[in-house]
Amino acid sequence: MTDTALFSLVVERIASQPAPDGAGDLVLAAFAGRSAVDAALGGQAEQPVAVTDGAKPAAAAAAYLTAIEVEGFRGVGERTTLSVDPGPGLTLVVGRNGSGKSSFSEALEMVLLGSNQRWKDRSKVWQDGWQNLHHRHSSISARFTVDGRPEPLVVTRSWNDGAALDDSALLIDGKPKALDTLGWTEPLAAYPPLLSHHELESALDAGPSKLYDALASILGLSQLTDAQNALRDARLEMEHTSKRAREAVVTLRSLLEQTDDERATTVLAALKPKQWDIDAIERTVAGSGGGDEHGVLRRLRDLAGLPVLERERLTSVVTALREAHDGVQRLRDSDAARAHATAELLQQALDVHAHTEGETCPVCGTSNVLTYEWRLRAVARVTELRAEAAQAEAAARMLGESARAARQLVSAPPLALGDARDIGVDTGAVTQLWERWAEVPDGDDVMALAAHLESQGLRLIAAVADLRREAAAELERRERSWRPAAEAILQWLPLARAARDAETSVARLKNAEAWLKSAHDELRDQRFKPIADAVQANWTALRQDSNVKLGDLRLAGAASQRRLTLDVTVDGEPGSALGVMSQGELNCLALSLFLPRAAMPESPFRFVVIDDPVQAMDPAKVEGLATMLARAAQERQVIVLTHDTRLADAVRFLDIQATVIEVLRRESSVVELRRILDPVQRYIDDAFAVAKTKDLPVEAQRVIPGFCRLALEAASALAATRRMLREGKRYAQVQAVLAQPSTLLMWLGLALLGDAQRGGDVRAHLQRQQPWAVDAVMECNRGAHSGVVARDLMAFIRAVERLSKEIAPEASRA
Amino acid sequence: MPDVVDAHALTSAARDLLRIDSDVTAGLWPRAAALLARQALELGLEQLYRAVAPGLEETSMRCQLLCAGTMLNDRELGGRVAATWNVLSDGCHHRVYELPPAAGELNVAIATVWALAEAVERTRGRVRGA
Repeated sequence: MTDTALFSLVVERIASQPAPDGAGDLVLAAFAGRSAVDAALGGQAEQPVAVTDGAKPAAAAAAYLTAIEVEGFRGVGERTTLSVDPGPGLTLVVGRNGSGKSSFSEALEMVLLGSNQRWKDRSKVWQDGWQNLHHRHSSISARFTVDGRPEPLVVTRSWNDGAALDDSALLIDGKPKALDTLGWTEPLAAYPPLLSHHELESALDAGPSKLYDALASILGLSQLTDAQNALRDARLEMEHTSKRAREAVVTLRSLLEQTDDERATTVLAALKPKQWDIDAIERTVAGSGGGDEHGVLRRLRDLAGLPVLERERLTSVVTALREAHDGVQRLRDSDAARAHATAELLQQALDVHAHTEGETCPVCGTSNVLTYEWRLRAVARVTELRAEAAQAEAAARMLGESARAARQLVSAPPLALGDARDIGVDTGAVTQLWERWAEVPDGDDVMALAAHLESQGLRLIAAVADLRREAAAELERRERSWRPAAEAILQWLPLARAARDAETSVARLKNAEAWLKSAHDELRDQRFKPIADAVQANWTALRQDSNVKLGDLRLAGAASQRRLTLDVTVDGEPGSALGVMSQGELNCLALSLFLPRAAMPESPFRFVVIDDPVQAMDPAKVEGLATMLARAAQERQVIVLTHDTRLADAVRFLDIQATVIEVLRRESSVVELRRILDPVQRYIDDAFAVAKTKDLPVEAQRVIPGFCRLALEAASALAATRRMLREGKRYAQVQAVLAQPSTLLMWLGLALLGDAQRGGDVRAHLQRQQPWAVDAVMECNRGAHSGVVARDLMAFIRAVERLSKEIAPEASRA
Repeated sequence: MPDVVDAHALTSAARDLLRIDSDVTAGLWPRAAALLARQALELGLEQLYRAVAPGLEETSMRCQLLCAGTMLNDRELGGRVAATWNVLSDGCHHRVYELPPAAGELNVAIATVWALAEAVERTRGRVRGA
């Protein structure tokens, strides 16, 4: 289940079932993690996705358990070793509650997992009392044979005297090392090889999503899940951005609605549609656009900058006009005013005289006046008069120019004054003044002109100055009101841009997610199928005559919806497993679920330890359990701890190959472990052992008839069971029959005559079939009570042994 | 093997099986102790009835157990003896699903058997003295 294998599966799938536009890149990027997804969304040329598989350690080698050694831990005092055969097979560890058997499974759990959460959940009493009262030095070890290792692997956890439970030292092959070095940490979580009664009981209560996790982890699809998570995280972040931008719009909008500014209106308009016109908003805020030619702000700005006549200029123009007028007037009133005319007259006279000789005046006829002297005087006079006339001409020109300049001061009212809608400033007064100012008097009356300009001009200048101030103040007010909105918009803009980008990304991400999800679900169903089949097979073995039938077992959904569907039918009616199953059935179901998990080929643990699976289980289920365990034991080392002999009996009665280890506890936490071949031989062996041992007190020999009787009873039970099963009786029926006999004769009646009630006929039967055994049987019965055996002890035991074997020939095969 | 044994000796032997950690008795001690303790219990009752109500020792065990309280003049002890006999008998017969009795259980049973032996001793003493 290497990662590259999974990745190439996905690549192949993308080739055969292309993901929608742009989603394929994201799917591949998602395998390289979140940052790769972001890069792919940003449109960055993506590096070929490098999926690491070298980082993962090679799968750990297969390990079988060989022994659990416990000293001073829980119910075990002196060092005691539970040895098991490394290799596939079934081992039952049988001991009464309190015998110390669970100390071994707990020790194994402690060695492998340390004081983890499960231990911390336990009561304080338990935690304080973990150390054995009779033995203060605590050390627990597990021995394994590991493929490729010539020496056994020994993992030890030990405590200094008085140390706390979680204050242990871990040794691997005698050296302090971390458990991680074995590469077992992940497999321990994925394929837990330890199944306790507690876990089986609570597993199904944990809820469908926990069950999903417990089983999904073994499918090796975590990379797919991680990739899905990378996509989902990216999408959630994008959606978060969009959401933040949308939320910000709400605040922004109410701020804008309170803002008395046309830009606010523009921005509001751009914000309304689903798709914000971010560019327009940006332009508006930058002040480089938006707004029409006659916008309020534009008009206010025009008014604030309304061209204004300078008072000095007005004054100087009017003064110049008046002075020019005065100059002209002055020259007109003086003699010089007529100089020009006179000079012209004289010049003409000179011109006339020059052509006609004579001294007589052609105008008045006076003779001898037009003399040379007159001519000299007249020429001088013309020059003089011409200078006077030039002065008058200059004054007239000056007046003309001044009047023109004065008229030029006046212009029509500017257009800006014309449209004062909505601007909060009144232009009426200025317009009126300006119109009046423009009504310049016609004609040559420059004094009237000067008076008009002076009076209207000064008034206009003052009014315009006021208007400009007003407009400027209004502009300033509006700016003040707009500024917070502008700042808010400027802050929002990057978010809005990100949100706009995010929307396209979200669409792509959703496609990628959908694609990956269907790929994941398909692979998941594919990989879960064999497990589901194994669970079904297990449940079929276990359910026996239960009317609960397990339906389709599937891992479904994802994220918070993930679940293990555990649908069942009860007598054909659909229901939920948790609702209709008894606790015993639930335990069976949990075991059905978890045994396949522990037996995954990928797990390095070839062993599985099950602590007390038969609590709350009815006898019929025990048979199914034995069958199921036997099947699992064909490929795995299955070790089952159990508090009664139901499972051991079932194994024996069903002729299932198994090793049975009995746990006995003497006083002072001395725990004994004994392998039991079969109970018949064991009681015979016990009887011989007591008979042969010389250093036992004489009283001890009185137990021999008791052991012999036990051997005969056990043989009878075995023979009767095997016969009834051969006859096709159900296991539960057999168990009911086995509960009947209470005396040796009843047992023999059941075994030899098929009926426990025929104990009274046993003696006659034996007399006919095994006459040599009659005395032995009677002595068993008598001696078990009185303890007295008259005959040779050894011969007595041998007779019992022979009879046992004739009753139950199967027993000796074990 | 001595034919005449006394309940105290059997009880002690049963207790030793429990207490003495030995390879020889490993694994077999719980049932062996149960067998010895039951023998001691039955012997105690037999001796009691021989002394105080001859003939009663020949009756069924159920009958003998029912009479124990009265004959000992100690109903509480009689009840315990009956319960103990049942516990020990489970250990002395093959029972499907039953494991041998645990050390703690046996300890309690042996204490009761010992108490019975003491009570029988006292009762017999009184009868002899009367």
